[in-house]
Amino acid sequence: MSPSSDWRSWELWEVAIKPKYFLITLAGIIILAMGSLYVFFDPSETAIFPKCPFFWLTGLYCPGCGSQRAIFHILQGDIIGGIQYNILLALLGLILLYQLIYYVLNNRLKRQIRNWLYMPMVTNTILIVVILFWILRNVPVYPFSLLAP
Amino acid sequence: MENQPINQDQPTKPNNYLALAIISTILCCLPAGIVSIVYSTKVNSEYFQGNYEAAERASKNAKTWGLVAIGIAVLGWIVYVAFFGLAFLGALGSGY
Repeated sequence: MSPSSDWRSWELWEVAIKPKYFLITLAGIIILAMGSLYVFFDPSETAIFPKCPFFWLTGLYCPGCGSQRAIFHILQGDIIGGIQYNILLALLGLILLYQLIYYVLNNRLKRQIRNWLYMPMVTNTILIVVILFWILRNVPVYPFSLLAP
Repeated sequence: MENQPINQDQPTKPNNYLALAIISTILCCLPAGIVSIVYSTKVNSEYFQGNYEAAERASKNAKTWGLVAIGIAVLGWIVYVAFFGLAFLGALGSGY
């Protein structure tokens, strides 16, 4: 091992013990531990996972309802079946993908592309979509009942 | 309107934490996620109107609401699974 790589690994360690990165690592470990349970247990068949408190209190679906079942099915490899439980997961997937592509293009390839997610029209649309989704998935009539978890 | 030239005097855009806000909406059944999305939209509109301080404040609020919502949800989840999950697994293990 050359001295320079020694120095680099030391610097990596310095970064790793900074409170911010420590917290991010800790959060990552907790999320992995939580996620691993969804690989083995189907939330609609086992009682180990919490039910949505909003649904429990009001009997209405919230915008997050169905996400546990969705995560279970997606981890089983059934991405389409999983997303049907909560279409917002598809929206989240698209946004994360967009952020990733944007990051690679602008920070790595030094392009100067506008970030659409910073246009007021885009975020306003997303807010309206989420609120409409919340209302419509509670309407028990055919085209809207597809949105229910 | 959409393609205004970028003014060099503008301060940098504050992060709108949109992905964090949507994650907190999907994972937490509390209205806190929605509040986070509202602040997230406010970051953009205030910034484009030139209210940079307000945009900065909205950014902080979006982050706080998102993180607090996720924190409460994760904590609640862990407590729930620790109580009911372990009891359930224990019952499985004892051949119920």
